[in-house]
Amino acid sequence: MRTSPGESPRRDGHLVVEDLSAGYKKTAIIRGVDVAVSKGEVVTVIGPNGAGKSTLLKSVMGLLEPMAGSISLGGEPIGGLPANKVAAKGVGYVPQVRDVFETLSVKENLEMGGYHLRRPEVQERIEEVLLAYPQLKGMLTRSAGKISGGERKMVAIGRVLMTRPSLVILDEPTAGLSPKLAQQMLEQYVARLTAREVAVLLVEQRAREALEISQYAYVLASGEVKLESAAASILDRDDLGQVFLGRTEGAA
Amino acid sequence: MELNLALGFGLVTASILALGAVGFTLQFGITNIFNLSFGQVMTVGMFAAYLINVQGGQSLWVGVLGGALAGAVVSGFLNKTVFMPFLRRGVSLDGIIIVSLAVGLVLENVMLAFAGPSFKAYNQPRTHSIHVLGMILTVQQLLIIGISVAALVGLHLLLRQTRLGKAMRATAANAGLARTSGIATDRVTMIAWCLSGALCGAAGVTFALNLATFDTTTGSSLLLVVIAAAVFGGVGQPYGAMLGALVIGLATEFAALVSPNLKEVIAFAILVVMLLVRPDGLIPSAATKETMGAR
Repeated sequence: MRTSPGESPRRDGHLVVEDLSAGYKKTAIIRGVDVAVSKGEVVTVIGPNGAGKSTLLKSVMGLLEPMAGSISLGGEPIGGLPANKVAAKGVGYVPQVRDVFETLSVKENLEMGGYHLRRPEVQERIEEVLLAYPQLKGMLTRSAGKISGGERKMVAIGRVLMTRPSLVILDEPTAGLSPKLAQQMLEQYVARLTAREVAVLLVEQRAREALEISQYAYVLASGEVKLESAAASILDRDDLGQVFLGRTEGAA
Repeated sequence: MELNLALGFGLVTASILALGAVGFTLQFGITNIFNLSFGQVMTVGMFAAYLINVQGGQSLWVGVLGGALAGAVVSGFLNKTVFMPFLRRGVSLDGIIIVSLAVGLVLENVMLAFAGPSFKAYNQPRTHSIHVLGMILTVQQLLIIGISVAALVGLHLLLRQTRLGKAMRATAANAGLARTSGIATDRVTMIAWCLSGALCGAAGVTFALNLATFDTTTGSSLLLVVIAAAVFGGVGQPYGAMLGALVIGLATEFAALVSPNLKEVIAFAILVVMLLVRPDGLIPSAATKETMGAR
């Protein structure tokens, strides 16, 4: 039983992943995964280490070629496209580590985010990003490898916002941040992305905090979706700890 | 007086080494391939300039341009037909070093087959020497310094001011992230190979010009010193390579005051000391080992 009582799995959205299998060399890490994310909502994927969360994100981004299944964005198939083409379709991806160009300045990082924009547009979008992240204003010429973890993540998110993406993929954006900063990152920056009518696909270790800003969630374990449901109904469950680990048999 | 002379020759040598070392390091910074065929690509540049200058009767400076162009074409061709396919097949970067060694040997022997083992020399116009700040340099040597400075300033502007240059630095820093930012890293990498080949070709021609004669092995012997300069500066770091070239260029010419045989000795002594003190060179690279073949 994949869903909570009274719910059925969702199949519609801006991003629709169907029956996806992917992995490295010939070994599938995720198998038969269905995920859907609509514009203006945060969808979180939670699950234990090694569940295949990053593999899922990388396949959507085109960093891994799917072995089977389909991925579409706004009804257009994007499965199997290389990452630079997927980015050009309006997908922004913030990896967990190595999320900025360390040897480039903050400003150059933003410029690279808008790589295929025309020159006047680049300047315009940088202003737009600075409006959302005014903290970055004072550090535009600084090397992105030499700023704090929180600032760095802002640069990373700001970089993907340069193209005004329709889908933003975030792989554990709070990793390495203090609990307070993590909370702030999720509530103020990740949740607010939805105001731009962006679809947000989020992977988080801080499951409870992530669910609180999400509309919908998937529990991934051993490469399969064990449970999908409105985020609120997962938060309400008494066996939350077990659910995070993908153990839902008893409750469902 | 002798010191001033050595300073002048040192600057010329440094200019030549800088072209080669920056070319070598630019390509390494983006691909992480320690390309040992770079020496023979320099020789290709020397022969291209020879064809233009001696066989074609054109000016030597057209020859330098031709040598750079030939270096760019050969380097780009090798990337497309040899290095990229091997990387795609998942050959390790260590394995690729051996591949590059083999490619270099093939190139060298092909040139040997066509050009023969004899030494070649360019048609250089007789020029007078010019005294600058106590240094005595020929017009050619001054032009070599000029070519090198112009090429390196041009490269600096490219890397810092243009979209393509920034994309190259972004690809060198983090190729995966560059791809997810919409940068066509394969194309950027290809351009880097050509650019590095052009610098390498120019280095070859100017080296041969300064040396007066060359044969099919001249490039590979130059490569060792070029690598010393590149590694000294922190391999993958263009500015470090420039500095490395300056230090090693000057040091070798000052050592030559004692004995010309000491030139390479001093180059590698400096390199060894540098690696003992700072294993990553003067400016450590931020890039990690990530192959370009992966998507």
